[in-house]
Amino acid sequence: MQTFLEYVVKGLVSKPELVDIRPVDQNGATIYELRMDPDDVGRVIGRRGVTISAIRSLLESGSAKQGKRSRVEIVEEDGSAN
Amino acid sequence: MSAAPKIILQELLSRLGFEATISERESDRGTVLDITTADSGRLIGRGGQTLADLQYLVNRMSLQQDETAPKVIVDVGGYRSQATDQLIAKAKQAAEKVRTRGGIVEIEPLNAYERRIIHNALADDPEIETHSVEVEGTEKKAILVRPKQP
Repeated sequence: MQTFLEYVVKGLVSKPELVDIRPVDQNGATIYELRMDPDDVGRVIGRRGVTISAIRSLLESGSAKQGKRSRVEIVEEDGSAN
Repeated sequence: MSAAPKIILQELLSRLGFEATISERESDRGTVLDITTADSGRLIGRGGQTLADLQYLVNRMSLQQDETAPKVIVDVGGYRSQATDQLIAKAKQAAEKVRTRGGIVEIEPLNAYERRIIHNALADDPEIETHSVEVEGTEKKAILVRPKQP
């Protein structure tokens, strides 16, 4: 699933070299922490969250196929996640 | 990194773990990328939502690489073509009801893609007009089908 996220996020941003994705295990699920240039966050979230919601939907679908649970969280510069 | 929508779609699917083949064809609504896979149900999702998300991402990524790239339609085993035919039929039925009984017929809340199919299906009807209205608690909108206002 990490290679899926890398491909999608790098394909959406203007500075793909600053995209960093770290998998963190939490209660059997994998949380992918997503970091990127602050100016690119809006591109990945999209208008009314439509882009990040599409990414989450496909991530869930692909993970479920493998019997896994995964989530994605965007980590902003101040360290807070959403 | 510039890639045609078909290559983007192929990459997304393989990275998600879906074994799939994609055929490309032209339709009157633009280029259609039709996916053949054993996991079609999972890829279509409830009410076609996963398929809509996949189409959205392919087009967003393609547009990010080339601002002039035309939008593509992503389908799974003809699901969308069939769903489109059903929506067009529903639009025509609503128009017929308005014509015979008068008044307004409401079509249930639909997403933007589905609404466009309804609007387009009745766009050339000289007696009928369609109008989207907000519905509380959802991004989807209902469509009012009514006699064209003079």
